[in-house]
Amino acid sequence: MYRQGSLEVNALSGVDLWVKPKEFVSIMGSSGSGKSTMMNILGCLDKASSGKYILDGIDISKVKDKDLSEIRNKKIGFVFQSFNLLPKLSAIENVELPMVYAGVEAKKRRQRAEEALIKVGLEKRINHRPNELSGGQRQRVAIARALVNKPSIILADEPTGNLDSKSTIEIIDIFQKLNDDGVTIVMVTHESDVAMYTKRIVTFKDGLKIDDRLVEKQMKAGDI
Amino acid sequence: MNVLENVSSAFRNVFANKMRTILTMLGIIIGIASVIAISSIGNGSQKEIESQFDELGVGRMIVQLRSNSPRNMFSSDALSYEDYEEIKKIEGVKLISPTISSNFFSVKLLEKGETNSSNITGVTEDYYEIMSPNLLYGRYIKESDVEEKSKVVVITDTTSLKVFGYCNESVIGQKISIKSWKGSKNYFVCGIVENKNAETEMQYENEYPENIIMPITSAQRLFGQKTLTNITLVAEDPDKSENLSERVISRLDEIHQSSEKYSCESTTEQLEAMNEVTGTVTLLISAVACISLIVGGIGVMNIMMVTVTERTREIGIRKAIGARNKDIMLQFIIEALILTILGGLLGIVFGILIGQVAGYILGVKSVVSLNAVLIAFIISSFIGIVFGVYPARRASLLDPIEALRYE
Repeated sequence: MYRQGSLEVNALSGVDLWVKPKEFVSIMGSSGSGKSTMMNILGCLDKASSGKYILDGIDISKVKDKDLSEIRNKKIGFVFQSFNLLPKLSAIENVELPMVYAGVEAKKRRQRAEEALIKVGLEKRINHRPNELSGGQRQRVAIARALVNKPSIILADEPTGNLDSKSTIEIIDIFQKLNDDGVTIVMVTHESDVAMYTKRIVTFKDGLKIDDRLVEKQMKAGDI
Repeated sequence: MNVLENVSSAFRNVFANKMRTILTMLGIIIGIASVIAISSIGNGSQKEIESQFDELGVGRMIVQLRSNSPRNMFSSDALSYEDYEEIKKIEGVKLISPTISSNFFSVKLLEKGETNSSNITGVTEDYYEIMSPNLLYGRYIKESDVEEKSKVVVITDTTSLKVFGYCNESVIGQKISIKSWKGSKNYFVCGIVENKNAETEMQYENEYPENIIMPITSAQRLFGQKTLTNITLVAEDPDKSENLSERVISRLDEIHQSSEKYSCESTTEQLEAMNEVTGTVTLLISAVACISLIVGGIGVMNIMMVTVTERTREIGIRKAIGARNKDIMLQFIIEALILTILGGLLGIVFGILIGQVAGYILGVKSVVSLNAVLIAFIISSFIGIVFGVYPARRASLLDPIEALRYE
């Protein structure tokens, strides 16, 4: 149940979704379909009014609100459509931020942030600020930030929505490589051609899950 | 997130918007600066009063005719040498000296040929112990001087410098000329004492009269006057000075067959009364200045509210990647604290400077007390916390989903 104004709307109902480790799932649906609510619940930013959410063996519905931040910090990596980097911090400082809240010591933090930036191919721009980077590069910083605490799952909300087609392919390529390395990814998108690069497509409509199928022939971004 | 990291990132945020930071701090700066300036001026004048009393000798009591007596005064009411001898007999009097002083005489400065006005005080031997001056050379007035009406004087080191151009052992035994309407008379310098007010007097150059002490009998002859200015005494037991004061007054009333004409006040009481007045005035003005501190605090709160709103999205991002509510809270409180503490420190610096300048203009030495500085520092930190908590709490309670959506 989701409250919007004075009207109570059931954003999602009767949804049953099981994401296995190492999966690469895309969630599709038009606006108002409930996919954003789904992402908020998966991301522990919101709690479902009823039902159960188990992440990595933890029953999130039973976790206290103030402990959710730790779950978000350690178990979840967010990638947003509008990148959501802190403009005053350099690329590497943005990547370090989740580790700051995790209490990782400064030296180790820098080292792990560098490794993460190398993974997304941005080792030459670690000291640039977000406004000195292109959209694709910004999203790569965001992916590095999402990765850096080794989360159980990466949640990407329309990660290519603000990117041109070339950058889109680059970002998808990074996701696929990460997935090949064993990272679990759930990605919201409304572009079906982007969804074709994932392994499984779940479709929502009016708060209901209307379709859930495996992609027969996953496209490889690296081939293009 | 540890506090140190929070502090350095807060500094970056605070200095990212320099103009706004300075304007916000201005309220705190003005508030703290005025408190510091006022308290140091108040403190300085208090110290000055104390040193003046110190020169008079704290702990002693002064017997004199009441200036505000409701009765008519007659010449027979004036204090006489006989009164002194009677009071001396009263039990509980430890030291006693009659004094007679006048300002209408001038001293010839032999070397330069100039004259300067003088403040001549006639005393007896006990006066030395009552005032306990620092005797540099020679000796003080003795009982034999009083009996023989010796033409000897005790001068201060500053007078010696002015009259002889130097101040050492060789001044003792030299002549100094005192001019009255009867003409000049020469006196032998028998002792030199330290001028405790030399520093203050320096500021006023020659406006201060020379302080000269001589045997009371010699002074009576010089002035052509028998009556005493006052009688100075020290009680054996300072705690019983009130009791002694009553006995002295009733004895005088008895001798002169009068009432309500004499007073016998302890200088400590006077000092306390004076200090209380300056203290109250200082406190009152400081309290007014504190109002500007509160206004400054509200300014800080206002700007913190703006900052929180402006950075809603940042707060959302930080929360999404794992910042706890208390991390966000701490971040904004530290930013508010930096504003007020930095403002407080600048205020302290400006306050000291303003105090110096105002002190110079008012002719009062400004004395900055460590207490005032510490209190100012504590107050500015306190304001930071008090006025920072509400905006910080609002920031920490933002819903991450809403915050992330904020444009």
